[in-house]
Amino acid sequence: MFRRLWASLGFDPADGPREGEMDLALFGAAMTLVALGALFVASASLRSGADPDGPVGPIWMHATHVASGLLALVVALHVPSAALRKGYPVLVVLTLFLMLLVLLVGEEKGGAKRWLAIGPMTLQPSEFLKIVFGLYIAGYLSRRYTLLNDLQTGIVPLGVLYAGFAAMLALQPDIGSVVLLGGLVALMLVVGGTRLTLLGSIVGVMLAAFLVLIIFSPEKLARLIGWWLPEETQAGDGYQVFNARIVIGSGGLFGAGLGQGVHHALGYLPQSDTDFLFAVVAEETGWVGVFVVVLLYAVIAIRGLAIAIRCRDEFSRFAAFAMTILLTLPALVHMAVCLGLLPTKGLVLPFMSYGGSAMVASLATLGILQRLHLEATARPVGPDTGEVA
Amino acid sequence: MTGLSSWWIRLKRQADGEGGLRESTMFRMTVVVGVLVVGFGWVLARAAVYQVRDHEAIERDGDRRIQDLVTVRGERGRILDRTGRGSLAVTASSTSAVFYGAPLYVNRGEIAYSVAAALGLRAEDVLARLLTSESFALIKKGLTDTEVATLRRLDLRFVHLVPEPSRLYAFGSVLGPVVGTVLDGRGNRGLEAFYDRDLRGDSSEMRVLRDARRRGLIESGLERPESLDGADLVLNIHPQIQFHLESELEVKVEEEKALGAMGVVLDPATFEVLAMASVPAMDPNEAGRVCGEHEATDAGTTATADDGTNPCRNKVISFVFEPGSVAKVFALAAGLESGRLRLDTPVDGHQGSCMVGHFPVTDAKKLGVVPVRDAIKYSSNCAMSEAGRIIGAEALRGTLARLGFGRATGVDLPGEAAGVLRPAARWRGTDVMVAAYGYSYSATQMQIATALTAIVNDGVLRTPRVARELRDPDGRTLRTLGPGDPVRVLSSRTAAAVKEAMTAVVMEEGGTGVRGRPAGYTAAGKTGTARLNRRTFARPGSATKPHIMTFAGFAPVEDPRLVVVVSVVAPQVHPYAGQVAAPVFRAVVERSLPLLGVAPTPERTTVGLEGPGGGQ
Repeated sequence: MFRRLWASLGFDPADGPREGEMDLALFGAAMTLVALGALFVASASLRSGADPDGPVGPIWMHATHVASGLLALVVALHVPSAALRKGYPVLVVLTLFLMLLVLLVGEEKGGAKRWLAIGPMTLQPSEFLKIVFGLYIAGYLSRRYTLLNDLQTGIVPLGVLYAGFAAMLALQPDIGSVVLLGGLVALMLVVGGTRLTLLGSIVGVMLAAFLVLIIFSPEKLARLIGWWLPEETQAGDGYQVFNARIVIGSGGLFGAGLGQGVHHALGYLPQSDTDFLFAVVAEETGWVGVFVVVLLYAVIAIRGLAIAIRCRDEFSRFAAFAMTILLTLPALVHMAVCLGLLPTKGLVLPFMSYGGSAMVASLATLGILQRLHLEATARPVGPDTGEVA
Repeated sequence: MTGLSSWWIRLKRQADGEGGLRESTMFRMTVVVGVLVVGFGWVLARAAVYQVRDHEAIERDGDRRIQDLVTVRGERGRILDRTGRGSLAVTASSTSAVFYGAPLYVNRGEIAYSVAAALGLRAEDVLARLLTSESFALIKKGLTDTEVATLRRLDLRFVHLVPEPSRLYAFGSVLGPVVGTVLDGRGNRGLEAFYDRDLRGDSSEMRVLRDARRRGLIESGLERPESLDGADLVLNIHPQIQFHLESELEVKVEEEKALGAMGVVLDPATFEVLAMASVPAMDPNEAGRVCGEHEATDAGTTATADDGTNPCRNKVISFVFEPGSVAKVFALAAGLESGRLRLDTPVDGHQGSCMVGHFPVTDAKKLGVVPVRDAIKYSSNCAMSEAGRIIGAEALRGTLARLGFGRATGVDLPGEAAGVLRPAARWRGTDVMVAAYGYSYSATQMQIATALTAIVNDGVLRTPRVARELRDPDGRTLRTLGPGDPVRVLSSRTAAAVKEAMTAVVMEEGGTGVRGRPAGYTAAGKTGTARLNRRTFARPGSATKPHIMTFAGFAPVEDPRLVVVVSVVAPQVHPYAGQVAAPVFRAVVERSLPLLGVAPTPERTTVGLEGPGGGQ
């Protein structure tokens, strides 16, 4: 059906690559994380109740999110990379529009304005912005590969778009996404071939600017101090870091058991079903569970890398790598935040945390990655039947 | 290492044939993912530090934070009058809204606005309170049920509802010093103290898990907290009699410019305390302030130095004085019981002037040789001193001791004084003569009333009781507080004879107690005007020597229903108890007997009130 749809739009499946095979390790790792995530979200929500006023309990909401995400995955599997390459500017404009809409008529929860209400559902465009931005960078790198060491022609245009999106995210505010997208830009420039000295100085300037911003924002500074001295500020800004340490530490080697974590259940850890879900994992399944989860994300990172390397064109390669970064970097930052290794950011755990848009976006990202794998491993069309596959 | 490099070569070869994969790109991608994997390793290492190395210490900290022992206290029982309906003391659990636990960055303005809207306060005022302290602020005390419900629904973080039990005394100073007070959940005065263990109820500790808002989740099964509630205490106090007694005493204190007064009403059949009053009396609702002042001024003095003005003391049981002429009836009882006196035994009144030892004694009424009965009726000290000599120290002291002098009556109140009744071996010379008209030993009004009640009760003594029973909160009787075992202290004949002599004091013309004769009722009694220590009770500018004026009596004579003893401390207007205390007795009897269902009979004689009617 999709093939016919794309054909009618001018993409003839005949000259596109044929379907190869799914990356089963990648798929299995992601699905395992989704399944585990549902368990921990259930445990975390039993108490915190992500949406107590909603008509449906948080567990069923989560199930709905996963179902929508799987649908998005299937859709993404059927979108050829060529369509993405040609279509991403449209997506960029569309996302830009949605982001503006959020700032104008967005819904506010907990002091942040990140959501668009569509009937009974809410949409968080910034989650989809990440994918679109990843595709944009992939397109940018594949077109301007040779210019990436030139500040004016190579880096500034990318920087301007990033700055625009970052500004809109900062207004929501969603500093976690600003940092994540910044990290994505920096890592993509690294793989794009930008000289490390140039990149280093850019990153250095940005970090300095960021620090200045923080110092002039007492709230952010307090949060930074809270991260640095959780014990001393446990009643205030160090609250979450201090409590995450207790929640994680009390898990021990084997954990308290699924649904048995007392410390998070007593409400000492706000956002335990989203930004601090990893702490729940750690409390209930202990270090062993942490090891398994980390291993699964590592599998995603390595399989993603393999797909990127196998890709047959620049755009697909950079897109695959960007998608890999988008699935693994937030996971790493999320876990590091929970462990007090990084200041509090507000990033969810991909595939696992509660949150509809994030779940749909993560599974769509996985779908894109799998599509790129299918294309990379498809038997080439025509006489050139090499030793590939 | 070789595996890794062969993988690398294979990847390179794989890529070389295709869409221009640069080796540098491949290398950089691999390095980036490598850095990510190293990051994951860092996460695992850090998690191991928390979960393996520090696990025990962290778990201990965490458990200490969430586990807590909570003391659950039952609600303090009520204190009820004898009808079981009038609540003298109740516990109201009021709720306060309190702000605490908020980090500095939390917007206090927002909280103040929400709370102010819910409680009908001005947001600026609430904010000012929140800003006075970084950590803790009382927002409002005594919330109404609606306000509590509103706050519960809002469930504002950092705004906590704190229950505060407070003791309320519905009748204020009425019976105040008897009911007593509670300090920090413990009764510290009066009945609140005496029955504290029963009223307070039980407390029990329960293990709870504390959630992040410090709300407790009960962790282990426990007895139901309702069963911890304290018992209700039902008193024998008759509310209207109490009211009449208090108001009559208050009026008298004012009229006589006295320092104070006290009175007690007993049921002679049961020794139930129907009323007990001290004037001035504190309001237990304000005891903290009032009694604090008095205790501060009393600090350097002894308990007996109370000049009668301390509103926090129950003078009925704590004010010790030489009873004076009132006690002549006890001497008469001793004489009759020993067989050395009969009502008609002649004694010499020495025309109202005699020497007891080296002390000159004068009487208001000049009597010659008269029967003992008349010595009581006219209250002659000279005649009674002679009677005392006839009775003898041993017999007099013995009877006084049996009637309860020299030891506390055992009434159910704390801080009861016992007075002083020296052992017979230490009575010397004229002591027995002095004791016969009420000096050389001391007593509380409670002792006098109890001894008199024993006489009225045909010579059988029991322990007086203020409280009747303990009930559970549902009104079921838990324990009946009886009057104690009856002890016969006088023969029935002696009791009857003493009653006869006392009846003459009130009912016969010329008796010192005629002003105590109630309209429509018969009554019996005895006046007593006793000296008080001059230094303690003298007031600057006062010409009169300080006396305590007592009237102890009962009514009706035929079938006594009330024993009433009233005393006025240091009155300044009239010199004799017959003028000061007897009218109080009369008023109390007149108002109380109808309440007990005893109707007055139409006036038979006009009461003649000629003569001073005084009595020493």
